[in-house]
Amino acid sequence: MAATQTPYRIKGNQLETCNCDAGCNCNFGGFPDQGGCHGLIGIQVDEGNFGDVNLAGVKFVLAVKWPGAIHEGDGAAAVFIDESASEAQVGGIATILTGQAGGMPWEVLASTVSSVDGPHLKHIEMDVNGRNSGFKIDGVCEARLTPLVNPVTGEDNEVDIVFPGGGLIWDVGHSCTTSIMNFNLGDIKFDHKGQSAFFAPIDWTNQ
Amino acid sequence: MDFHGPIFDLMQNTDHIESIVKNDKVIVISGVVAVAAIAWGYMVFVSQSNAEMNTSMGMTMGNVRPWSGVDFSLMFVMWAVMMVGMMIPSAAPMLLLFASVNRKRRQESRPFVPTSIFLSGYLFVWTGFALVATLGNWGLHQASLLTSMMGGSSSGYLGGGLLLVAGAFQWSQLKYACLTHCRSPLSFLMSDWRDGTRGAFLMGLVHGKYCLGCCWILMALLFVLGVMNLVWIAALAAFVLAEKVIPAGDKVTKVTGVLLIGWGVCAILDAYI
Repeated sequence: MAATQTPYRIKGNQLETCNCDAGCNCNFGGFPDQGGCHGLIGIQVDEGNFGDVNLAGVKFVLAVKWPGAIHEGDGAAAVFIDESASEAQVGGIATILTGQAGGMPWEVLASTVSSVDGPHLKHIEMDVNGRNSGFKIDGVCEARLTPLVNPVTGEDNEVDIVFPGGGLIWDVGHSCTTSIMNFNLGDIKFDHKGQSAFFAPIDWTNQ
Repeated sequence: MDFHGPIFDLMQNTDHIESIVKNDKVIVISGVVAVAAIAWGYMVFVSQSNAEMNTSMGMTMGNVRPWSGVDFSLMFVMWAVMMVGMMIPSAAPMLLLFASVNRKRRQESRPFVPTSIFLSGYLFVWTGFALVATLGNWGLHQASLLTSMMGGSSSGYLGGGLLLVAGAFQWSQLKYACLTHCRSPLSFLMSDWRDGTRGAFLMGLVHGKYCLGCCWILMALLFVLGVMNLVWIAALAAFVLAEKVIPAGDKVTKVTGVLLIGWGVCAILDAYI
């Protein structure tokens, strides 16, 4: 393997769903409130590159199941990249997600995962629309974000989580919940609608 | 449709990766256990020879004799070893995560740093604390406030006061901030990662600093419980570990605060009456 790291940058939006209660304890230094962490994440790249390869427009989905807190490791992951991506784009995304290109958060996250299934090239339907975003891969998974509702007034309850000093994965997360959240392929199976979700702009680099 | 190529073959070779992960954990855990075991072995040895010295010389004589330079050095070594034995187990989650990042780098022929560098930064901080504690121990001994050179406080007011401070500290902002840091190795390594040997040592220092912020007063309680009281040393070490690694550890912290305050009040009333 090459010892030099290919520089990369990914800017876009992340649709993050998990099995925690709304807000997700992990953002506050807590442990997953359901014991383990089951996450299903869709990402659309708006602009970015992996070396000379342009990554703009690439969509990918990641499902991970950790038996305990993420830092305790032993996660099982599955990676899907939209079939419209070129071979070079797939290589770039796979290298970034598996931490082999360095850079946070993937270098540390990847080290907590002990098996990776994929990357599978599939058709990914993804609507990026703030707290009403969603994505779907036929026969594998679907996630649909929906705003939190104020229990008294019935109006949308807009809550943001902000990391003024820079967050783990994103700096500002628009908190919401899910009307659909499921994944079923191989050893990874879950269904956690109504739990935590975030719509969050992301900007990752190894530079 | 699935994709194939060298990168993907590497990623799909999960059996190999899993065996390395387990092996790596075994190495780091055995290292931690070995260092802690040596530290505990030393503490048992010192506490036994201390007990023998007390029976032959008598408690009072042991208390009156001023410390020599050798005494000071030995006490410093003892405090430092004690901190290693007590604190290393609770640093294990952070050490394991740091090790797994570097294990992956090594596998991918990328520059990596041994976990011992991170650990030495961490222990540097606790060795510094040991020096301060030794000075405190010396001062209390000079003022005849300890039952012996390695004993607990002979003053109910001093002991009760320390317990009150320790109890209140469990509820403080500082404790909360430091404990939150220690309980989430992932966020520390993701947001404060520094490359290289120097970077690893610095990260160890920063982690040690938070850990010290979290536990210093608990360690100072040894002046109440007996500096070489092995049962209390073990209990404190187990408590520090529980605060950091069990999911409800932060609640344990608060409850303990109340208990310590109650104990402090009793100790002071007892001394007054």
